[in-house]
Amino acid sequence: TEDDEKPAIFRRYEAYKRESQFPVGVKDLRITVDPKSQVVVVPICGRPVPLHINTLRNVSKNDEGEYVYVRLNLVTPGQIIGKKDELPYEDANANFLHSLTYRSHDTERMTDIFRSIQEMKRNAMKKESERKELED
Amino acid sequence: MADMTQFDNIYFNQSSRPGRLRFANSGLGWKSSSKTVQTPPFLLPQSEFVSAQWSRAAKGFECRILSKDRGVVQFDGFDLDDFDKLKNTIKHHFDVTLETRPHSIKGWNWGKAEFERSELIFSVSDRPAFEIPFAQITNSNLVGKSEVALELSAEHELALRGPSGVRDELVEMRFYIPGTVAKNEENSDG
Repeated sequence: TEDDEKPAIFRRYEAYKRESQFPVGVKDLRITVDPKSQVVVVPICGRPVPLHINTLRNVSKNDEGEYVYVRLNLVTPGQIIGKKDELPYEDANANFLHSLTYRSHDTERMTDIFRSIQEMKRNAMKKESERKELED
Repeated sequence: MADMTQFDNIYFNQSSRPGRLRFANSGLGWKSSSKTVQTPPFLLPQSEFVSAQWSRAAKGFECRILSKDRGVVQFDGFDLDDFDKLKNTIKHHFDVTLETRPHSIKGWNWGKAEFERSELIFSVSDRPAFEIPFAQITNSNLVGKSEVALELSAEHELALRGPSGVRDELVEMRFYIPGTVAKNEENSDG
């Protein structure tokens, strides 16, 4: 059918429009979860960098000795995600940030961060499937 | 009085504590305000100045100085209102123009990774999203055909960085660079 031949589309989204939208916590150079905007803000070499929840594939946590490691895996081409009629990125030939691994001594806080990112991802996926059901 | 301009509460290369930043014709100097932590001041002579950039950063606004031989130097913690004073100061002492450099805040993870003079710049929609100074890359590996892994470490000794747990420390990042190998093969065929 014609539907099967439609090229995959990218549904445009943006984390922030203005720098004033950054949550207050970014000044401490820590991972900050911003559920209101559906964004995780990560510190990269002194700069707060927003990552929209749609770019996030999953998050993992590991305790190793005195440190706790949190790893964010991001969406890249070559992974099978959801329906084929939608692209999670605009340009498959671009360069991609694929993963970020952070470590800290603060197990409690990192566990909190880990859980809130997971919850935000779960909610985003739920909303997404609800939207698709309505479209179908 | 000496021809000198001072800014207070400025953080140098992600230091955990602020310090005092001074500009004079001979160069700039940053000194930690902490009385308990004794570190020698950081000095950058005038001859090292290549360019200066103004961006939003973590503590506030940031002045990044690209130097001849000392890599990228970051000073964070300026107020938005400091821009004119800093711009005039840098022009006056070093004849260098402070350029405003807006970053992408779209939150996308695709763009373009490029190696510049002393840092890797990842750009999204033609705006920088973040920079990785080479000095902070301790190791790099190719993972498979199209993935590059970078191991990172903070530049500072513990005294300046502050106790661990103060911040979340980025220790590894990976980039997916698709199609490089295949494209080259296509090119050689044609």
